[in-house]
Amino acid sequence: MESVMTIEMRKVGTILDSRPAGREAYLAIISRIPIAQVDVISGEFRDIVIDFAGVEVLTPSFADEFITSIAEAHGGHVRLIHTQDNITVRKTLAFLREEWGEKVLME
Amino acid sequence: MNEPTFADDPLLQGAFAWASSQAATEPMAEQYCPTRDVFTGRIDHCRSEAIRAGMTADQSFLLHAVLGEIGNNAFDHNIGAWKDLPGILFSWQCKPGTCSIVIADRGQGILQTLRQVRPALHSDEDALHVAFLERLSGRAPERRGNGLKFVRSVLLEDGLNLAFQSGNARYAVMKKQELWSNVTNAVPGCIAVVSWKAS
Repeated sequence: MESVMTIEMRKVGTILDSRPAGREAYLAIISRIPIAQVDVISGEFRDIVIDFAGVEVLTPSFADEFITSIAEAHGGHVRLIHTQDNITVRKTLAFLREEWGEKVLME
Repeated sequence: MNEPTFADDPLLQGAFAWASSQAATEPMAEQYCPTRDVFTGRIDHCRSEAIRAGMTADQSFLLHAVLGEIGNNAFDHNIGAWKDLPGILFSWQCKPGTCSIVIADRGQGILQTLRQVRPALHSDEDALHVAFLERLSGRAPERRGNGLKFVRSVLLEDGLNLAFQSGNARYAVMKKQELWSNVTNAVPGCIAVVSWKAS
């Protein structure tokens, strides 16, 4: 079993710009990923990786509904990757970072 | 600082008249977004025209994010509480080197929205300060309230201009300079003008 689950945001959409869309995406994803699942070998929560490659627009409204909800539901870390490719992804994640604390890691 | 007055051109004047009139009239079909889906679809069109006017890809993505936060805010906070006509007026005018975009609603306005969670607020000006400066949601206990703060941060860093009015309070950012003011002609809901000029 892989220790990391990756969510490719471009498969959710390239324009991620409203709360209802973020909520809908969260509800769709949450049933498919092992939120709060413990790795059988390490005994630790498996990290969840959210990959922003290919995203053109991300707003705080969407990110708040999607990322914050996953972080709250998940016992382990949420790692965000390809966070510097797009200007709205970079600014939105930097803007919300202080609210997430150490549970959400940006790369 | 030359602050937009909403009377600078027919586009803005028409939107202001629509937002502030006593009786509701349905805007022209190409300007009226009765639902969020219509608005979401039209932002892409607006962004394409902005790029054709000379905006860079990065600027256009930021423009999309700013418009998305302002327009979606209107839907988030007014569902079931529109004064009369649901939805927003969303219109733009792009020419080589410049774009003006207006978003207006006939909703309950910032003060009434924020009073639901902060009853002590007593003026449009105070409410506008809270909306743009504090992380306070008008839909608590839902986790909301970052949108306009994010808009402000983008405007101050990246050079898009904004004039935003709710009630008789107005907040403007022009060339990364902020201006708070009170005006005599009030709008019950909100009206926002986002503008860009090639440097």
